[in-house]
Amino acid sequence: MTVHTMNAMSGQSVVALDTAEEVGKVKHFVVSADMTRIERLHIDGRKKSAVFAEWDDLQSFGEDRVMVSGAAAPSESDADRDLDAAKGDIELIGSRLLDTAGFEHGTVADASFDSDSGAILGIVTSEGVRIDKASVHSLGSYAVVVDA
Amino acid sequence: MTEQRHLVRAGDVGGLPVVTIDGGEDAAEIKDVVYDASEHRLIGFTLNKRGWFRGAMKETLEAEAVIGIGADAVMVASEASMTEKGGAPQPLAKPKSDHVVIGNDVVSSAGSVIGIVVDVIIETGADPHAVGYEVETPDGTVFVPSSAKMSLSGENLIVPAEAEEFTRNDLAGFGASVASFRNMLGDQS
Repeated sequence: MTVHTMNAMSGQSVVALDTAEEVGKVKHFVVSADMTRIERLHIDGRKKSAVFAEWDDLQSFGEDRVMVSGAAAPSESDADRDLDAAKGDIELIGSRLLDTAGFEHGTVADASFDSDSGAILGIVTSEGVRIDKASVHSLGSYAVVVDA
Repeated sequence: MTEQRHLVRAGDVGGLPVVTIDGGEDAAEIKDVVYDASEHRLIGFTLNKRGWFRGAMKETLEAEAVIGIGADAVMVASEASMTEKGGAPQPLAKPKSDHVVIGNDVVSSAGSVIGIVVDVIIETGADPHAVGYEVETPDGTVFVPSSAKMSLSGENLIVPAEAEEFTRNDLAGFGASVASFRNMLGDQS
């Protein structure tokens, strides 16, 4: 398992292994609704429309670069969740944090993930509280829901 | 995070978002609290749509389907927790006008008028239910525990004389008072 944080990876350059060219920068993480894993990355590149790199096309998360299998790998998407993520409507970092009893606890300040599998490991709140993934239920456009 | 037991005024629940635990989406907004005053029982909620085009939803939310009511949201398992009015219990699909309790005189069984009902108090959590009334009196606001032994006409809410001993003037101390009152009556409602 290789642990990274989203804040550290956000904005990092994404480079294609086959051309050695930069295809863009990490703009958003598209996270599954059940918060189990990162499904793909939204890459802010030269194209007008949003492009996404599937998790399986990502080769490594290095200290300085994120490596993608090929320059042609990032592609457009018409999936609602991808487009909402690209617009920032579903965004883990900064999302409202709500518990199952209906009380807010600030926002999500950062999240850790395993770059080998894409699994979300946990989140850190704006109040400095670390919450393990086992206590996190979902990520939607309104909130991240955690156990009370 | 620790479990929080919490009392809220029914009037404060209106306008809260209804959020799905499985999706993190604000699926609706509480429009009205539906309360059966004859049984002093919380039945459920009517709903409004969220967003720019707000308006009444055809779905309703039964109290039993609520996972939690907090200061910031009403939590449900999923969007399937809300039922269309056709499938909702009769009191929730078509609330009866005689359910009105707000504005009733609160009269003790000894014959003294305590005040006027201004709100219903709900205990939140996994099993939200009504626990009492907020009553405006000449000396200020007090909270009176509800009981199956109370009777209601639509004009007067009759409370056992013993209840006066368990009234409180702050919501924070009212939860323990409700439990003591019901233990004394042997009433688990």
